[in-house]
Amino acid sequence: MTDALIVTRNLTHTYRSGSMTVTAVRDVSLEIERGSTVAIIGITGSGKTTLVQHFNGLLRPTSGAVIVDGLDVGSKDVSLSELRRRVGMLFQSPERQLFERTVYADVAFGPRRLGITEAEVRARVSAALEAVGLSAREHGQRSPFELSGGQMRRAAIAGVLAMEPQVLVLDEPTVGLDAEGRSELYGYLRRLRRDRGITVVVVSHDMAEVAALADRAYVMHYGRLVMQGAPREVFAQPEALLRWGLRPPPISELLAILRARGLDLPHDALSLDSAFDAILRARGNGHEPGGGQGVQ
Amino acid sequence: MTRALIELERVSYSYGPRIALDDVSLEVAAGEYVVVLGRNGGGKTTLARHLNGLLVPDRGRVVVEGLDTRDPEERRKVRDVVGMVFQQPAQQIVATVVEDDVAWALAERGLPGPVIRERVERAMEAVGIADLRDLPPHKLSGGQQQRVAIAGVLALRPRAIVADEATAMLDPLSRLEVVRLLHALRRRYGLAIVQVTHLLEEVALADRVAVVDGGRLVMDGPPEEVLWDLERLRQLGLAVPEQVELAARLRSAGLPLSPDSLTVEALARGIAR
Repeated sequence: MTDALIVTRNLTHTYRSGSMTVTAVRDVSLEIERGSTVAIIGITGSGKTTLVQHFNGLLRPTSGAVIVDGLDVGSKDVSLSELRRRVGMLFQSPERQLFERTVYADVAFGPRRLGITEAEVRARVSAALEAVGLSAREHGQRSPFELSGGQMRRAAIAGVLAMEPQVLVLDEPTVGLDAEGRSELYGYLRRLRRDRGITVVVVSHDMAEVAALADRAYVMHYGRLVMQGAPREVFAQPEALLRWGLRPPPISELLAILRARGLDLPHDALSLDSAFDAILRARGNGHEPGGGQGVQ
Repeated sequence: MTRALIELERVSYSYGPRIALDDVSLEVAAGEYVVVLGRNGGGKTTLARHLNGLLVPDRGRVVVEGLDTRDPEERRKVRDVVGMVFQQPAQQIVATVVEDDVAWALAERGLPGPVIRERVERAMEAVGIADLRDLPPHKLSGGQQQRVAIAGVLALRPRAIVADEATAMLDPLSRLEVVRLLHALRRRYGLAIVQVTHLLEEVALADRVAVVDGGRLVMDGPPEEVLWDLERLRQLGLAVPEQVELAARLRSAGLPLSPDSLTVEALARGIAR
């Protein structure tokens, strides 16, 4: 890997409460490349949230190491404020954390604590709002609670962006949003990556979301990293995904069932177009398949 | 159709200046499974809240088993006929252990202890949470919490359950389990189910799909009618499940697929045949 921004080595995290101990993350080693978009997937309780909470120092390793942009998260000397400036984190349903009277004030809350001039704050707020498709002029003076669900979530993301982080960690960013809200959010995340080179880490259980966004997917199960690769590689193994309690995207699931029934179908036909062509070919259908790939 | 269990007659409702429902008429028959679909802000939650009298129409009326929700006395009775389950599992919890939570509404209605115990027992068994009875609900997963909420409603012995985005906050497998549970309860008790969702993937097994947008009922029919109209669904801001889109293209390419090839399993059967 060329330029790893986040590295974990044999990361283990154990929660203690009285005499009880629970190991939520067990011996996880991974590298996340600068400027990439990655997805951490797994069922509830798989350890994915615990894992990413190490990325901005909310948690420290019980053993093993986490290095973020050269900063050693496990070290006693690491500057947490520096770490959190570089890694912006957004939890589930972040709109519940909006609290200021106006959208502008909410997004400006973080930057105002950086000791920069009000003009700089203003510039950052405008840029952050714009990056998520809101305008300081149109939405800035409104109450956050007048926005739609999708807009509220994007306003919360703007609050993190205004801190100009290098990494954006989003925990289940689209839960509760409808199809429009989701696809808008995806669009803005893609733009952030393209225009600002921000590294995006998405924690998700939505396979379609992962397939649409991520360069790389990491599957967690009971604290262990059980699978990683490009989404097309991961989703080409629906049987394994089901074993980890995950439901593969419908197309991979369909192709797996058809293969089990003896149809000759490739493992990497994950897109709708390629599945369409492969099925028509396997069925020996006389009609010309789409995309001009009907070679028999 | 037999006489409707729930009837909405030309219902309109506004929040201040904002019109949320605009002249909506809809009937739900006893034992029918209806999915109400629509993008956020389209009016589907407002519609759901009319079904058990949580909201009362500005114009028009809602009649449940002959009870008109505009009348406060009848509205109270309606709440025992139509039970509601909501989106946020944790916010529906009222007691410190599962068993008491399921018993809550019954105790509130002053039913005698033995009756409460018997009903709670059966409701917990029906939704598969009997072995969780002594646990604090906040320790449960989201899917388990929704089961507790459903058991609490079931213990009231309703004729219908309205699930308002009850699966929206769950992971995909828990989502599927809750939907399967609703189907099972419908088969076992003949309950009508009204499931409000923005997720098209959950509708294939319903009897009927009603789509609400801009406060109006814009589509209404069996899934094998509504789901094939991909163009219209997209215009309405609904994400068409990939397998349905694939099935539609395979059909137009001449593959003989029946109109009910809407789930991954049904489509696979149709293709492999």
